[in-house]
Amino acid sequence: MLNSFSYYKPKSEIEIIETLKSFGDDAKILAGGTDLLVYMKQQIAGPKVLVDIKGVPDFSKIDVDSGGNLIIGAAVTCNDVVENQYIRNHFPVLATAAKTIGSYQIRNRATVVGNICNASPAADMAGAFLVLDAVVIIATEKGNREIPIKHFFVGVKKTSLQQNEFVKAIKVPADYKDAEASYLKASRIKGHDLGTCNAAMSRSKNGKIKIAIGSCNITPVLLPDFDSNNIDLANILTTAMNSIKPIDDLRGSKEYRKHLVQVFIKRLLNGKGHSH
Amino acid sequence: MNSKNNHKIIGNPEQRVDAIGKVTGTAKFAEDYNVLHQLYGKVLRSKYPHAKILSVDTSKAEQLDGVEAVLTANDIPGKKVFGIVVQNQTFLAIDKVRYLGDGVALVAAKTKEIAEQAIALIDVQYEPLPVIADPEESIKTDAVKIHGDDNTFVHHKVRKGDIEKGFAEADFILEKKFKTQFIEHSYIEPEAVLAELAEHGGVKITGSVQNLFSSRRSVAAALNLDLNKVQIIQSTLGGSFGGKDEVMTSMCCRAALLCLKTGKPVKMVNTREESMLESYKRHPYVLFYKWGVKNDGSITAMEIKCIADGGAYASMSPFVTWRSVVQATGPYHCENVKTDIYAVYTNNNYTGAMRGFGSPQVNFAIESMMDELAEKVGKNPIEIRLQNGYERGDVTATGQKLDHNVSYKEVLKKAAEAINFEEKWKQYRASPKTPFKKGIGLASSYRGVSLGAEGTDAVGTIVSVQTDGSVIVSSGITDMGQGAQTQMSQITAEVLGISMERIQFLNTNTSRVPDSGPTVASRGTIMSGSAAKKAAEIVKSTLLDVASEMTGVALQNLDIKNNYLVDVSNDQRLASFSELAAECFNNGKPMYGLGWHKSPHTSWDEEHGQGDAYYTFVYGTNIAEIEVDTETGKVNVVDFVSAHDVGKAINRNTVLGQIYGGVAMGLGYGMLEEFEFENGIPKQLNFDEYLIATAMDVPRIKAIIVENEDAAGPFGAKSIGEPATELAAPAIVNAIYNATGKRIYEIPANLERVLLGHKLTRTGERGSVQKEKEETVNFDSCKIRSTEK
Ligand SMILES: Cc1cc2nc3c(=O)[nH]c(=O)nc-3n(C[C@H](O)[C@H](O)[C@H](O)COP(=O)(O)OP(=O)(O)OC[C@H]3O[C@@H](n4cnc5c(N)ncnc54)[C@H](O)[C@@H]3O)c2cc1C
Repeated sequence: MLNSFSYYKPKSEIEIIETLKSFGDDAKILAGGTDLLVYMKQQIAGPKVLVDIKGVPDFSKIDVDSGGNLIIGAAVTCNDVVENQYIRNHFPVLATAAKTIGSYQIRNRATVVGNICNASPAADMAGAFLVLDAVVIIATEKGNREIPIKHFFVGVKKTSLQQNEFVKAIKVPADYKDAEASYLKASRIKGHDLGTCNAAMSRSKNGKIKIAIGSCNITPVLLPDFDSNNIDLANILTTAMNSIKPIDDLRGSKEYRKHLVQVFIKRLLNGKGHSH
Repeated sequence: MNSKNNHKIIGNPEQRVDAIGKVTGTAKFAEDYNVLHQLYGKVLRSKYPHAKILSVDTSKAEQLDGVEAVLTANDIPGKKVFGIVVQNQTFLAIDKVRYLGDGVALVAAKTKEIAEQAIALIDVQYEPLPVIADPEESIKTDAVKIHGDDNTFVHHKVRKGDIEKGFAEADFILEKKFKTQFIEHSYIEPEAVLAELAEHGGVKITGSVQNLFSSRRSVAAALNLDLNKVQIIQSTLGGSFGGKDEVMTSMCCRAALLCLKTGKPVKMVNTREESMLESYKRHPYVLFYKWGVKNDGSITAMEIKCIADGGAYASMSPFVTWRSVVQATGPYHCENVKTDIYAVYTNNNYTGAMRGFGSPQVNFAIESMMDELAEKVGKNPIEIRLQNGYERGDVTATGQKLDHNVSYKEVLKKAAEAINFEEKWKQYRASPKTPFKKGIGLASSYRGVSLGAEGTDAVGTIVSVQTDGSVIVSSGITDMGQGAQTQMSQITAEVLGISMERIQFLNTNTSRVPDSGPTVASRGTIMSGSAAKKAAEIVKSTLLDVASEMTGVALQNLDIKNNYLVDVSNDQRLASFSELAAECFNNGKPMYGLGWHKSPHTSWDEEHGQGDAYYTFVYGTNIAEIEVDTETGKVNVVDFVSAHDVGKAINRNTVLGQIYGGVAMGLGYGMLEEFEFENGIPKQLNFDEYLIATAMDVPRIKAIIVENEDAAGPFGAKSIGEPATELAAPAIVNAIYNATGKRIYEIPANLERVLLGHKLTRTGERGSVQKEKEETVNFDSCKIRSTEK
């Protein structure tokens, strides 16, 4: 059962910060609510105040800035990303990953930024953003700050967000426009299910391979860059095995996850990355 | 359409009579019933899977503002236990809890929130007892006892011929062990009731109840009331699949008890978590199959032993396992059979009726064995089944001579032809190892219709024509979504010669229709349909008598067609059905018919397991075509054929609906679903972790309806509800073998089993959900319940 709470829907970034400041730890940001409401119902979270960020018009936008970087606002839903033609043409891996989240109905509400902020080790957007070297744009009392997404995840459900901060957008650098990138996810059913394991890969124009692995450690994991002109599969697999620490849980065993990661990496490198 | 029989309505895809209400939202499900001043009832459930209760202190809860009653088993005035065969299930625990879902105390309060707070204030002291989680442990003589002095509470046998002799005649022995899992019914509507004081004493209970009469019997006994003082009214049911029996009996009784104590209406609604925690499941079986076989593929002996996990209470286990014992050999010839099926208590959720009722488990083993046998003797799955399968006149393992149209081979062949089985089977098994491999597999069965020798099998249906020519139909058989109301309406309309729009079906009410037993065992259409036919015939005969007097036309020339009384000698319309009804009323003649149908004779000799177990059987075949990702274990079902002899499809769409839904459920059984426990503690309590097939997982399904009309059913109709779901799992497992050369002996055939051939240790934890409160995130702390060494 849900505990009672008050609900705020500020119209600007400043107002959000002010609301967060006045309620401190009692407040939580609400985006699509597809994670948060589940936790509230299960009594894992019990915020007294919900601060809805969907009231700020700019947050619903998918934009390209003057530098050619892709900017995805905090209220942009997974379906917005799946259906956005610019993203499909130039950053297709984001659409691929977003489409694996939950079901159509869930994707109508779930935001991609919420997916990142929830910081589940299984978050489907995490891998795609990690291999695209995305940057998280954080609103703070003292203006905006930016951090690379690889420094954003610090633990299970833990991000490097500080008190009275929130994410206003996520930025994908122009460098990765049209770069080769792919995503693979293993889940038990084709309908809504978190991944037993997932992996993403990109090959940048300057010859770097980035590989990210999800559901295999306390955070999504980004492996160190590899050289795409000189692929040493054995080394990549060893590095991957050394960087993950999967557990046995309802979705799969440790042993199975390790196996899947290796299969996925091989498939991604062979250009056989497709979901399901 | 229907040229052969000239039926007007039978066989048509008539719109379901409950469709409009369900899609427009006017249908009332149990939770939709609310009355002024109702209280909310909540249950305190056990803290341990097995424990002695030392004390229950309700004083704090009673003092909470808004609490109107706090009750324990001591407050039950009558019989404190219930059960269909073995009466040992408690409404509220007495001295002991036997599984985590056991209710210990009840609260009625002004709001749900207060009720929940009060529940938390009840102080129960327990002395935990050793937990029996494994049926193979439970059956051992030195195991801790859960009830009385023996954990084994059912032993069914079949004895035919001499297995020693049979094994001696064999060229080789095929011996395998299989395992199946607990399955959640997954009805979309969790349990709910509203109990109110009845006007003239007693109680009126409205709720999502499947088997109203057995629930009423237990509630009345617990409350010390006569049956006529306990009225149970069925609300529109959001699914049941066999699942709303005992768990609803319990809820009805608890709500009624709170209602009688407080004098106020009491509403009880389970959350999904409460539902999964308390409700019973489909039995997991351990199956030992040992066959003596000749090199030509014939079977000389079958020795079969199964242990069913009955969980904490006996429930339907004696009946479920009885169907298993009758059908354990499959529809295959064997002169020497020894089958023993046991049901044992454990501290898991109790297990009971679920769509299939003891057949999905044995079918998985039989059909796997059959394919192994084929492999060993160099035949294909069709050849081996045609060689061993039953035909008309054959005698089953229980000594029953099959003297109806035994269409086993006809159905098998039709299914195989529809998907070009034999060619694909050969091709896929020979194709080289690539990461993605195709496979095709089949499974077939015979299934006894209705209750059989399980018990009394009789049903009443009432047809009542109103003075304006509209008609009300009601029955002791309930509609849970399977379409019973539509079937009975169609049969009534057909007999009376009227259109479906004239018929209004009433939800079942125990005080207004005769006790017709439970709506189980795929007996709805064959039994209540037969009763509806008789009821309509009674009314029609009165109507035609009146018509003959009214018109002077000879009785044999009169009939009702398309809502008109007609003279069949010249096809002239003589009066409308409404006019005829009015005339009948004015003549003081009854337009009310109670059709009563009792099943034909069945018999059973417990000691030898011999007898005419069922009065007729149905035959079915499923074929699954799959693609396996051999590197990840992912199985994709790409095509599916489901062929069934239903006798006669009263409503084609309903039959198709049953087939499609049955396959979806069977696919979940074969590949996905598993209600897991860890030492008596369920690992999942909602659908985020208990996975059923979604619309995206259900393949294209080709349904083949075979119609060999059977004298035992109305217009030749038999059944489809359970046959539809009992074959998909073995078909898929056989397809996996065809693709990979690896056989799976334990379902579900999930990713890991397909890939690695065995199940790995897993825990109920989720790496993705760590309590936010935890300060330092230590990844290893995720392994709270890990059993890893
Ligand atoms: C049925 C179902 C299936 C699902 N399947 C998947 C799946 O396949 N893959 C997957 O990855 N996830 C899945 N999810 C989880 C969830 O849908 C996603 O993580 C989703 O993207 C979360 O976004 P949201 O907008 O709903 O977040 P919310 O629930 O609104 O927020 C999530 C968390 O992030 C915080 N937050 C949100 N936005 C911000 C912000 N801008 N700044 C700071 N903090 C913020 C919130 O306070 C909260 O703690 C599923 C959920 C359900 C219910």
